[in-house]
Amino acid sequence: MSTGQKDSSRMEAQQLADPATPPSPHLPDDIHAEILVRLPAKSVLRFRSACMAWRRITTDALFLAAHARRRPPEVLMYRYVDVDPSHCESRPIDYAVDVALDALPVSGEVSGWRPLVSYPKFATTSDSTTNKRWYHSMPQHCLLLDSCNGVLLFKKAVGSSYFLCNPVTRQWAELPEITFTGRDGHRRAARGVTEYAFYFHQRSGEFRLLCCHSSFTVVHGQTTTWYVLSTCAAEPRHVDPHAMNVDNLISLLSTATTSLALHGRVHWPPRLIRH
Amino acid sequence: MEVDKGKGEAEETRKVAEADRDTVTLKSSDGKLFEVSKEAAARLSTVLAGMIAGGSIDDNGTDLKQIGSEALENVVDYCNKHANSIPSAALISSSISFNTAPFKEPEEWERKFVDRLSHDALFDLVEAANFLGMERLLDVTCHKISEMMKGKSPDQIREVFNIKNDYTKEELEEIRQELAWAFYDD
Repeated sequence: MSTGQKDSSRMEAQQLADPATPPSPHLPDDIHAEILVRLPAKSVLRFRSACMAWRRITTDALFLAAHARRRPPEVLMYRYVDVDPSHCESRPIDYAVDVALDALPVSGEVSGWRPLVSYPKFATTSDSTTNKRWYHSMPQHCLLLDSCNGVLLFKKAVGSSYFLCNPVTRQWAELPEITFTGRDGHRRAARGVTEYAFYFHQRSGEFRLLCCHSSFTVVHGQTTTWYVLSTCAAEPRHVDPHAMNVDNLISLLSTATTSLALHGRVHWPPRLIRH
Repeated sequence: MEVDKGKGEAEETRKVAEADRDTVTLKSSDGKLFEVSKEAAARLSTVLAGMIAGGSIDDNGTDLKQIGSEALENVVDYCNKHANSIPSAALISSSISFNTAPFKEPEEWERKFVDRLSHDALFDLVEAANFLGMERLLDVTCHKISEMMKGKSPDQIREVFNIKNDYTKEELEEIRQELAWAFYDD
């Protein structure tokens, strides 16, 4: 995609060349958006380099959401795959497991099955003095928590950092980390964070995560703080749940039905009380 | 269906009470009159459906100042062909749930319909379909354009759409690196 320009000035000279060919009609931007939203993902990304306006159109969150809705629906499969140990010497048999995310069309066409990503389930760390490797039994990489409008929400097993991935555009974004000040005065990553809802905020065009940090101190006893994390904000934002009965909310990691974002509100199913 | 009705015939249709008519008359920017099936117009165009429901349809020809006669002729032609073809379940559903239904491949007749259009006529039709809120026609015409865009370099695309490359060389290189995978063909 060489432009043939030697200097880095704005490349307008090109357009002036060859006056013999009449210019194509110039379509308004909203029509460009209508055309681009109907193109396959790869073409959309490639044509971001056509001009700034096209990049602006195709990076807009509403555009991406509209583009995702037009695609045939897919199910995302989260599975564990045994890896042939002869292919990965660094991992012994019991730990040679990958986490794999595959997309499968809802229509059931197996030809449309495509692997998205796979990564080792366990982290291995080497001890340089004994040349022995240590294996963590906890998943060290990331856990898929939820998805919304085709964007996946992952949680890193260490600390409480979250990141978003759009597998179609292969874009990643991180959410601001929840930190607290320890007794030594240092800021550190909060533990004990529970996630309650992952949703698309229509008005701001942001993906947001509602979560709650619980901590226990001798002075204050049990305290809980609610946060909203969003891709566009540098810091987690405190929220006050007011009089809402938060005890009945179901977290994203629950095996029960979790929250659902609909028409700008997040809904939780009522929790059944067994007697 | 016949397009560009003569004056006499337009007079004739005007006499029929509006409620009984099963067609509407549309007027292009250059003053040409076209008649289109009311049912198909209401089903395929959100704008025309709104005008029909709101009673703002003019029997002498509803003014569509933004659309030239060639594009309007194609719009009317499409509506009437649609009215005559047996609408498949897929088409009905895509005309109801605007913007949300996954894309359905154009049918054989729709493909032929856009294939015969010149580059300029196709672009004019996209604009008309967008103006009239014709989701399915937008799908079909944009699908044709997306086929034309296949395998083309960004340079060729700029030529097709008459757009200027307003990036600096550095910015372009940055995008290329960021999205390197998208520049390889499968």
